[in-house]
Amino acid sequence: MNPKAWEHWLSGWLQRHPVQEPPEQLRWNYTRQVMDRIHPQPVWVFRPRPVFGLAGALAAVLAVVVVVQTPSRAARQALELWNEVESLEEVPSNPEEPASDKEVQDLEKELRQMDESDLPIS
Amino acid sequence: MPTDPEIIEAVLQGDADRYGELVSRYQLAAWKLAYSFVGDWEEAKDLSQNGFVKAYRHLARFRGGSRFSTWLYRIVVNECKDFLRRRRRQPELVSFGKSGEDPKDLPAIDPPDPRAGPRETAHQRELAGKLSQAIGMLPMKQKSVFILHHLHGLSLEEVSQVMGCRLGTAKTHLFRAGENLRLRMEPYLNREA
Repeated sequence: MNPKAWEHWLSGWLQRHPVQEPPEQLRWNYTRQVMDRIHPQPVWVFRPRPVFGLAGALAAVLAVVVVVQTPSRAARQALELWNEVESLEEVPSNPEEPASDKEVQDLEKELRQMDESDLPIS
Repeated sequence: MPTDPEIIEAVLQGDADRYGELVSRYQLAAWKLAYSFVGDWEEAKDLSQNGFVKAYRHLARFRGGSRFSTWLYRIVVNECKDFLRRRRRQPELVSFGKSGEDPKDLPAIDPPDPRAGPRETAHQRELAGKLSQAIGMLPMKQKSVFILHHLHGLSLEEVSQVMGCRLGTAKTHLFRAGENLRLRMEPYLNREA
């Protein structure tokens, strides 16, 4: 078949056999689907659902526990530290119970020895 | 009936819903064009819809140098080419020989005239299958030009705009496509004669 005859046959054949039409069941929502993709639903808007309620409640409880626990633990630690410091300071400077005679004598003796050796006395 | 440029102007002014008029106007053409490339109506629907969505998103870039439909077809053809490239990278579940012979690559042409007798119908069906297969095996540029011009009736000027090439280049692709098809179809046509 020469090219001219082929061209003639092809164009005639294609005119008699056009491209198929899409099936009806796929056609009805074509435009709506495109428009939905152009204007998508605002999925970011918060919608209350049971799962969110439960998760939200758990998250809130955890947050409260953390918020309450954190300063409380720190305060308790600070208080313990303060008490420890106070207790350390109290022993040499302000004894609440009077020392016994023997203890007083020992302390005076020790101080004297320190004076003699020229060590600074704090 | 408003013209395409009037609708586009309205959409660009903020009336986005009017884009639906363009979708309704060209959905069938875009869908059938995609189907010619991929041979599956649902895939073709997705691809042509992607084309409409992309055209909408870039509508401000459309300068009106060509018709809206030409611009849209260009986007749809590119979607189809990307799809075919992606599909070729995926492993084939069923092999029908060479990748070019996969029936999914074939452009679909209507079954023959139902008024014909059973023998003629069978012959026409076979011929349609062979021609579809031959078109499907063409190199992509030749196939695109052939489909746009012969199956969808675009002028060569429009084909060159869709393909983004010069008119002469489109003519060359079309000529080569025709020659390739003639060589492939000759045995069956001689038998018909």
